[in-house]
Amino acid sequence: MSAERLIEPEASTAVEDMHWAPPFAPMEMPRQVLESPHRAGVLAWLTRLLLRPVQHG
Amino acid sequence: MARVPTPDFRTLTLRTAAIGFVVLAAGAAAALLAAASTEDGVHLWDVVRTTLIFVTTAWLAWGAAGAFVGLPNRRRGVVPPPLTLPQPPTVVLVPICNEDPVTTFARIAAMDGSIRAAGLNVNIAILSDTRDDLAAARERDAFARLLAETGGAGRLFYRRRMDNRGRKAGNIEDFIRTSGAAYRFAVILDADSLMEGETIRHLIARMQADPKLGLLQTLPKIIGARSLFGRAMQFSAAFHAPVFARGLARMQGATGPFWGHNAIVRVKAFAESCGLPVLNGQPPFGGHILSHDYVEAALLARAGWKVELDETIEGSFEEGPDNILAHARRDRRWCQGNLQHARLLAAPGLAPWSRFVFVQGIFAYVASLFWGAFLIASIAATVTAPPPNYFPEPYQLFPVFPSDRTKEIVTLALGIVGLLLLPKLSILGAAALSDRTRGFGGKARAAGAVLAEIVLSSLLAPVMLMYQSRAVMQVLAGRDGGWPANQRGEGRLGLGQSLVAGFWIFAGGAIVLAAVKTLAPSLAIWLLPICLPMLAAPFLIWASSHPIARGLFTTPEETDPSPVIRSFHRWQARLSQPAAQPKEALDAAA
Repeated sequence: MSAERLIEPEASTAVEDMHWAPPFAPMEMPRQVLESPHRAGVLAWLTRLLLRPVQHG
Repeated sequence: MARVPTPDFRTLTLRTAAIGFVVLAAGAAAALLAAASTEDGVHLWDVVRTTLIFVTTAWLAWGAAGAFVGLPNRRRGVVPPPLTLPQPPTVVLVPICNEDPVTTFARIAAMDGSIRAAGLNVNIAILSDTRDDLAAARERDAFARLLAETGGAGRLFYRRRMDNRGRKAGNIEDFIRTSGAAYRFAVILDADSLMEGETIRHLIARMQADPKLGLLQTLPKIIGARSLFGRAMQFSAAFHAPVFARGLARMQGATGPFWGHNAIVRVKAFAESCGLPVLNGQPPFGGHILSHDYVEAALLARAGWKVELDETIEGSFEEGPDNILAHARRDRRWCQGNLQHARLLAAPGLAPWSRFVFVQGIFAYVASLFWGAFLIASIAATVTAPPPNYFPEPYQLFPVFPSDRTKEIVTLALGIVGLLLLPKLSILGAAALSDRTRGFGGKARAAGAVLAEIVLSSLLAPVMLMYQSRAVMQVLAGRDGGWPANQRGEGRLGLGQSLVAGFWIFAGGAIVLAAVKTLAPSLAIWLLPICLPMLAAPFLIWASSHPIARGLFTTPEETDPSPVIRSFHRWQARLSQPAAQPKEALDAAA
């Protein structure tokens, strides 16, 4: 039996409690650089050139 | 960390050998076709189709090379490292989005029990991206019951994101940003993944033993398939995939692969290397990175971390699509994700092999178009070929008949069929010699299953090729397929549904066959293996979605299921019944 038939969402009573959440222990996650046309040179230029009309299409 | 890990001598040798084999096979195919097609002089279409056969054969040969590289077993007698105490804090991450909570949480309960039985103290965090409020309410109720029935408060966690930014990768990233510092290792799963506690113990020990290892990928076995299509995939994943995966692991060395789930990561390495940017522009090529796993593997390698695949690790499972339509839907998303990697080919600092992996991923889909283009070029070359000139010299007494090139064409066809079949037959031979066939019902049944899988995959290949071609064309035309939720367990398809879904393929097959019969009748017989399955596409889609008996495509996980699979079934049956305690009591206990 799937949850759809077993659990009536209208009659749902459970509420997310504080202790349901994972522990709060923040960590930095810096954004990575993946597109750097100046360093990548010809290949980046060619990729941009080839994909430009497609993106605008 | 040091920069990109340099491949060792063995990896370099294998890569060189594989590339050499590919160039030889593709060169031979092109030479045979050129010899056969330029008999009457060199024409534009001959050049086009010779180039295309070079490219398409190279792709087939690359797949075969992977299998050949993976055929020899790994060195025996390597003792797995023991877990060093104290056990580092570890979490199992289960990102979900509009899943059936009863089935999903039954897996969690089974894994939780298995983890405790393995003597581990590992948390499990369910990371919900469910958008639908009613579905989220069901999740909450199911989680309250899960906590109450497992006593899992403090080790089982649930949080729902209100903002689905970045989809699955964003979901994991959100967890790391909020809770990452609490854990040293994270086992990343999918909603349909299942993993033994002992396997998690082994993964943690491997990460402890090698401080430079950033990610260790397992090869998940497919379980729970019922249909002809699903069971064939399940068998293939159990029988063929370990060899292909070993080949892949040997050639990729320390740069991957990562398949997005059923893997353990070093949280610090993942956090410092895998914060994915949003690409400039609109989807399908811009926006969030869809196939994030390949990119994360490349980024870990860029930061100097090792990314390894070990296909010998047992106790790692997932479920697969049970019909062609579900497979095609998933494939559409993967196609867009892989083509999007074209934007990342020039990303700074990546290992050359990581770039090559992106190219491979792109080619996995674009190859369908190349095959289609080859067929069109072959028809065009035949139609536009000048009529034979029986008297090329003036005042010639006897006619000169063009020499028969059937031998070259037949050799080419046999070579291509060989590249397709030889890897699977070699795997069967190696399995029979090593007694690996025992889990598959013995040598005879394994051989029967391999042959049946070859027949089925040959019949379905043109249908898949059409779906892949359509997906590539849609992406190139700028259509974003989004990220549709998985529809697990939809299984059997109706005839009407199959007809609607496959009619365009039937129509395509009929048009191609009619055109060839009219324009180039001599080619018709060569195109029948492609056109006939296309004509039968609706029937194949319908028939392959039907459940079949367990006698065919037997796998070891069916004959002797892993304890966590048995436990999952027990929990599924238990959670499928109304709770024994009143709901309020469950909530209070949770």
